[in-house]
Amino acid sequence: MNKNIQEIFLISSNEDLINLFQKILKEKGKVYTFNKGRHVIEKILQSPPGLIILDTEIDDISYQEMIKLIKGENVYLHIPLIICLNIDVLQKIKELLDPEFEIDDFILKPIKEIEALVRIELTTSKASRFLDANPLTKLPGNTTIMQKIQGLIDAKKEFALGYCDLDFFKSYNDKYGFSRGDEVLMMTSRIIVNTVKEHCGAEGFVGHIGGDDFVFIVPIPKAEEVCKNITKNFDAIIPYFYDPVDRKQGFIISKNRKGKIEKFPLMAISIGVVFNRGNLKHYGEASQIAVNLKKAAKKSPKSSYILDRRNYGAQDR
Amino acid sequence: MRDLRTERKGKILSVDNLPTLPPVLDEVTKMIEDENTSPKQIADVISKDQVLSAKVLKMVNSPVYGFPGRITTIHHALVLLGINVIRGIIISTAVFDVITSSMVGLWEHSLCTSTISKIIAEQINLKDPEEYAIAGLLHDLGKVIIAIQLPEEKKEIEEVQKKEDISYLEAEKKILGFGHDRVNAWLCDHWKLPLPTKEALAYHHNPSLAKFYPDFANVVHVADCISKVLEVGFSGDEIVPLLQKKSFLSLGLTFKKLAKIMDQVLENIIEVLTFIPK
Amino acid sequence: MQKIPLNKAKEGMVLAKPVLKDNGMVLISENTELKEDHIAILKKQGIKFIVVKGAPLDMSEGMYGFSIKNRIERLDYIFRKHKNDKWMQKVKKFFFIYFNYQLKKMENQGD
Repeated sequence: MNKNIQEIFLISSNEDLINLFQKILKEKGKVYTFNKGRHVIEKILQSPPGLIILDTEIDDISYQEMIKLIKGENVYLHIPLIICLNIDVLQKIKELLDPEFEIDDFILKPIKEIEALVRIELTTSKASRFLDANPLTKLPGNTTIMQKIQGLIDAKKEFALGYCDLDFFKSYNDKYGFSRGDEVLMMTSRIIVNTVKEHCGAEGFVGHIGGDDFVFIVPIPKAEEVCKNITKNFDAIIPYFYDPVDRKQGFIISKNRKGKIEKFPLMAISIGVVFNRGNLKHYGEASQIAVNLKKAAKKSPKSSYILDRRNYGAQDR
Repeated sequence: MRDLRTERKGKILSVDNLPTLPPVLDEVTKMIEDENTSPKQIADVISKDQVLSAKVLKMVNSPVYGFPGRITTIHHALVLLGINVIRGIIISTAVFDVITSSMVGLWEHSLCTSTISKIIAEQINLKDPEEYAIAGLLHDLGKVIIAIQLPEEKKEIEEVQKKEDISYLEAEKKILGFGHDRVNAWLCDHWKLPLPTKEALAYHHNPSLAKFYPDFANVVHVADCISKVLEVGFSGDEIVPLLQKKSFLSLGLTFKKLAKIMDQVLENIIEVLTFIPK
Repeated sequence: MQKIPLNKAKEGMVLAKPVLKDNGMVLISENTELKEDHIAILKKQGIKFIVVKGAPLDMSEGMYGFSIKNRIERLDYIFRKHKNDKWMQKVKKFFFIYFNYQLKKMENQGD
């Protein structure tokens, strides 16, 4: 029950509140208090704590902005965040339930010590069990992906579903080792997430199936632009994940599947995109088509994408 | 002396609220709020400010993102961090107040050195000139950090520099026991910046010490010297540093090539001069 | 060829390089003689600098606090620490010749 969560950031300019929490949290970890929101943002982004408690009455920046900033990034999404608020804020219930606004719990002011204690316990233990997120990238995993796609199909929503994977990832792993491979996966996840976010905002979704397989869901009109930018950005950045010699020569020497020494080009990203215009019935159908298109895209050793043309112009025909 | 040095090093590395100049910060803030600006445009403006650039590179190379020491350019950093995180960095950045006057000169000098580094890299056909531009931009970051974390000592450095008519680097060594080049090396290690950037920052006064990426240290060294000849801005003294002949030659430079580089520099200098906040 | 801020652009100047939009699209191609309309378009597009033929901004006497004449005058002073260094004297001589050459070139253009 008394699991230590190491670092706790408490953001409040109210001294009574700070004192109260310092007492409650003594056993749980080291508490750092900040009375300005401004000062803590860069710290959170740079070295995320195990728990954030945010008083909505901080005065230098809006608490909404701060929450969106933290919860809007896959790498910080898992940090439990509890807000302390007055009843009038609670009445803006719509805002608190906004999907972009993923607070984990709230504590109502004036704060009762026992209530605060229990809520913090519950929140932190919930966070440690946290969903099927990929342990490396913290992106939603298979269960969430499946539910998301099936949900959209059932609701008869139009969407584009993209499957991505990396060419020559295995040979990179063989030569440079798994931890360097993980670096590439983290980089790839950031490119996909940011590109989808830049073009689609909250309408986009990115998941991590596992290994070098990622999926994204975007509105149909944005699909091609997203693919174009993912491949462009990936190709620009991937050379930096090779040692200077390999980067210069543009290939690596590694073992192939039969254990024979072979030359492999630098990694590339392949994407297959399927469109749902009400024609798809089942999650499995959608992913099967996307995976097949991705396989076709993979035939080229360079980064490439293939859109499901059969359905793309369906409405025009 | 040893203890004092350790203490100063600790103080320098504990820097967490790096301030920057108001005009640049305003401009970037405006661009971020405008949905029509592309990440590339924002990267171009951030690439002109040594403090913001340092913060962005520090962030993208931090272990949180899972690929420390890999990213050297602001444009790539923006692609990987996303606008959301950039906004976070901007919000948490303070502006200079007290030390603005002394920092403006250094900012101009850094921007000028950045432009020259890029031109040299282009002229001698090095790959990715943007990386050299960033190294040039950040080469005197140590001076900014010393000014913020050790303001008393900074005053002493300035006094000694004037009184004895020595270079700023020599004055730093006299007062602190180490120079801004050493501070650069500490920061690069602490912030996990990539090795090419580190070697350029740490060895721009002594490029022969660069073991892995000598081109970076050499380019920034030569660019710094040219920048001092042009006297755009002020970097602490009015002395052209000793241009290392070995550095000059190992980049394959000749006076003829230098003249071509200078042509390019003069063609582009107005951009540097007009970017300076008034 | 000179890179100048858009607010110094005048009718009649000729573009030495095309003006590109961020996505690489050409706004106005090179060798175009600028008209007021062009300048207005560039302003609207948020373009800050253009590259024009010749050197319409005179850098010899001083522009934005920088002048070639001043560079020549300052050389002795900023190289004062390297009086006995043969190599550095060569470097200094290079800049002396280079700046004088630029000055001549600019004066000739002015005529």
